[in-house]
Parts: sequence; C-alpha cells; structure tokens
Amino acid sequence: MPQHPAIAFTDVAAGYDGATVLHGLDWQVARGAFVGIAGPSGAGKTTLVRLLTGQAERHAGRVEVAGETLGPRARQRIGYVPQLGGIDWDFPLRVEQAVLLGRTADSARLPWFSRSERREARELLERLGIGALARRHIRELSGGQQQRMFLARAMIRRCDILLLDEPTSGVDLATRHDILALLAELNAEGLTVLLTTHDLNWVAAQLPHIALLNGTIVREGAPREVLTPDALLATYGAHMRVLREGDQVVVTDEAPLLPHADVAASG
Amino acid sequence: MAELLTEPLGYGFFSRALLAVVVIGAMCGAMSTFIVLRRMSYVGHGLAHSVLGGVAVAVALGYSTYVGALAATLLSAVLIDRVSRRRGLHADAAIGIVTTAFFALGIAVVSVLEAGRVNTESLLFGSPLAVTSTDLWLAVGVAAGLALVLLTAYKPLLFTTFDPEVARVHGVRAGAMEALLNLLTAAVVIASVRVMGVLLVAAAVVIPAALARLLTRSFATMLGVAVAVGVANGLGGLYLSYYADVPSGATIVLVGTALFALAYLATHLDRQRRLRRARATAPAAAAPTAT
Repeated sequence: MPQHPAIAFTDVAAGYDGATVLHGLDWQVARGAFVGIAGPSGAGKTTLVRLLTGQAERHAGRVEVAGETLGPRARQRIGYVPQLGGIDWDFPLRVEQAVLLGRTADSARLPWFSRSERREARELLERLGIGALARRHIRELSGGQQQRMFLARAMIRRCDILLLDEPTSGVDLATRHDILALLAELNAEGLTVLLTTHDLNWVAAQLPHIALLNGTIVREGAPREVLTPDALLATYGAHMRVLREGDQVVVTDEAPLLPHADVAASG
Repeated sequence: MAELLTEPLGYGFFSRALLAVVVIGAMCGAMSTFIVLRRMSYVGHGLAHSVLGGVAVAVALGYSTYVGALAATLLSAVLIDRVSRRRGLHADAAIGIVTTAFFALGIAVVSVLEAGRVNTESLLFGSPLAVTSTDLWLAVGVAAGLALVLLTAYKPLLFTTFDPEVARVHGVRAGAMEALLNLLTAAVVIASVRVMGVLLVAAAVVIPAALARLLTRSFATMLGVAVAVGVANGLGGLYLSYYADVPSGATIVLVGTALFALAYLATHLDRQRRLRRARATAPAAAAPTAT
C-alpha cells in the first residue's frame, strides 16, 4: 500500500472573498518532513496555513491530508499553533486549562476534564519543559513558554502534523533557538512539521527543507540549493547577496541601504 | 433592619419580582462572562434596543409582546451574525446598523399607535410591578436552558470564546457555538427586559463579568463570581427600587455600578500596595541613584 504524503496540494487556487492569493499550487509535504515556508509579505504564507485550517476559501484544485480529502476528519491529524499576536493574553485561563482545551472535541460533555486528561496535559507540559508553570496564568509566561503551551495544546489531540504560523515571530534569539530545537526534537520523534517564517537567515536557513512561496511555490529543497540570488529575485523581486560558509547560508541586501555609523560620523 | 427586608414581601408583586430578579440576575451574570470576554458588550445593548421595535410592531398587529420581542431579537442576532462575518465589518458596526434600525422602527410605530397601547416608560426603564407569572416562568425557562447549555457545552463554549480560530481546527463547531451564544444572549435579554427595561438591560449583561474579571484569573471562578454579583445587584436594586420609588432597572444598574466601583478601588489600592512593597524590597543596585 503506497504511503501518502502528509499534505498534498494539487493545482490549488485559494484566497478570500473571491480574490485569489494562491494559484497553481502543486506541492507535497512528505511524511516526517520538517519544512519551512518563506516568502515576502502578501505571498500567501498565512493563506496556505488558513487553507489547511479551513479559514481560507479554496477556489480550485484538491488538498489532501495523508491521502484523505481535507475536511473536518482529515483536519484531526493537524495540530495548529497560531501566531501569538492574535491572542487575548488577559483571558482568565491557566496554562493547564489552555492545554486541555485542545482535547475539547474528544472529551466528555461534562464541564470538567477527566483525571487522565489532566495527567496527559501535565505530562506534555513536563515534556516541553514548562511543567512547573501549569498553574500559572497564561499572561505570566514568556513568549517562548507561550509557544510551548500552544505546542502542548496542539499535541494533546494526538496529531501527526504540526502546523505553525510564524512561530518565531517576536521572540528573542535564544527563544528562537529553543523553539527550533524543540521542533527538531518532535520531528525526530515522527511528527511532520510545517511552519511559515519571514526570517530567511535565523529560521529558513536552519531548517532541513524550505519552500519559497510567492502566490505559488517558486522553489523548494535544502536551504543551500534554494537560497540562491535568482530564486530570491524570483520570490522577493529584489536582488540579494547570498554568502556561504561551510553549511551556513546567509542572505543579505546587495548593498547597505544606510551609511555605516563611522562613515556618517566622519561626514 | 429585618423588617426592611421582610415588609415588602407581604405584597405578591414584590415576591414575584424578587424571584424574577434572582433568576434574571443569575442568568445575566452567567451570560455577561461570555459577552465581556468576547468583547461583545454592545450586543446586549443592541438586542435590547431591538426589543422596542418588536414589541411595538407586535402590539400594532395584535400579537403577544413576547412574540414581537422574540422575533426582533432573533432577527437582530441573525443579521448581526451575518453582517459581522463580512470582512472589514466588525460586530460593533453590525450592532450599530441592525439594532438601531429596530429601535427607530419601534419609535416610529409607537408614535402612530393610540396613546397607552404600549407602556413605553415601563418598557424603557423596567418595572417590578409589571412582572407577571408568565414573565417569571419565562425567566425560569430561559435560565434552565442556559444552565443546561453550560453543563453540556461548557468546554466548547470556553474554547470558542478564548480562541475560535484554533477551536475550529480542533474539531469544535465554533460557528455553531457563536450562534448559540448569540441566541442565548437574545433569550436572556428578552426575559430580563420586563424588570430591567430596554435601555438598562445592557448594563446587567456587562457589569457582573466586568467586576468578576477584576477579582479573578480563572474562567470558572469568574463565571461563579459574575452569577453571584448578578444576583446581588438584582436583590439590592429591587429593594432600593421599592423604597426609593425609582424604576427597578435604574436601581439595579446603580447598585451594580457601585459594587464595580468598590471592586475597582479595592483592586487598585491592592496593586498600589504591592507596587510599594516591590519598590521597598527591590535590590539597592536597581534603585535610581542621585547625581
């Protein structure tokens, strides 16, 4: 029996209110892959995520998750971690409760969660390194801890695909490193990870596989193969320099836009 | 003192009104938790305004006022839901358009009806004298329905209120939950209008949760505190209405506002005290140095 890809887009067009943002999207995410989607603002990164979560309109084509047409049942395989910015962090909720909400659809109709569900939430929080914060209010967590809490909420529904919208947006360097290391660990345990990012150097270049998106997939593969001046020009419409040192790839502007401080001072 | 509490109970209308304000206070308190957290405080305000239109049209056509109120609020709730789903139009705009139109319709119809066919003062400001057995049973029925929904759909309602986008992905029928919350709000408003009045019921579905939110950071506790505050507002307001001879809607809102002001002041003073303590115990190196 052939193994279906984790996610398959076949000639997909999608957008909002009849306006198409994604078009001609033919793309597959292999099972167990760790993929980052990068592209300029308005390229359709969030639309692609929202297509999978059911919030964007599909105008044409087919989307499959593990061989099954995308719908409520197929969506059960997806654990979704939204951008932190859209959350009401003053909402009266403790960390453990926020994680348990991920089990709502499978839980009994009673107003409380069972002892085994609460134990599972605690174990997940421990595994993600924030077990000691279970009773804290969600506002009291740092950005990295909030990401971990939402990862736990996604994982408590026993998903096999993690979908993350800009998980490293607005967090500091160390937290970004921690989040990527944690995702790599979860990926090594078998979870397929698909994330969006606008950060080419600190996120996209660090992942095993990236896809450049601008309405459709422009190029995909390992960062060394994908992050080239011509692919970046085709995606971003701007000339960029690509520096390579060993396995590292660094993308910079072709020339500094502003004079350096010492030049300005001497002038 | 005890006589002040027991004396009005000798009147049948007061006992009926007392039961009504307890039931209405509890359900307005519970509903306010969802309304405030969903940032839909103007929904209660708007739906209550549409009641006037529904009641006026029902009277003009010879139907029960409840039929008119029900039709107007349900239609308003559905229209608000539809209009606010359109990208670029938020719920506040939808409420402003839909419910003000119903209120305007009510004013227009009342002005052409014979004088006295609609008791506008009682409808606008509430009256415990006007509470009938039917009103009381309606309130009990709506409260029982709300309690049943909270018992069986607490978790999906909470998830939808906190994060509807992710709730939907996680298999929760968030759209249905939002529609259910809107319909429950409409039912609570209709059942409360007789006591609270069209213009004042909005406060009853906002103040309890706003006060509770000052005191707690747990959703379940907030829900419980809001119910207790709703009942306290109703009881305090009804006695005040009786002795001051002021419409019950006004006194219930005034008692609620006074309790909110007290809670606000108490939590503000507590924050100031904690700030002073933190400054006093902060390491010396962190303190600003005089130059």
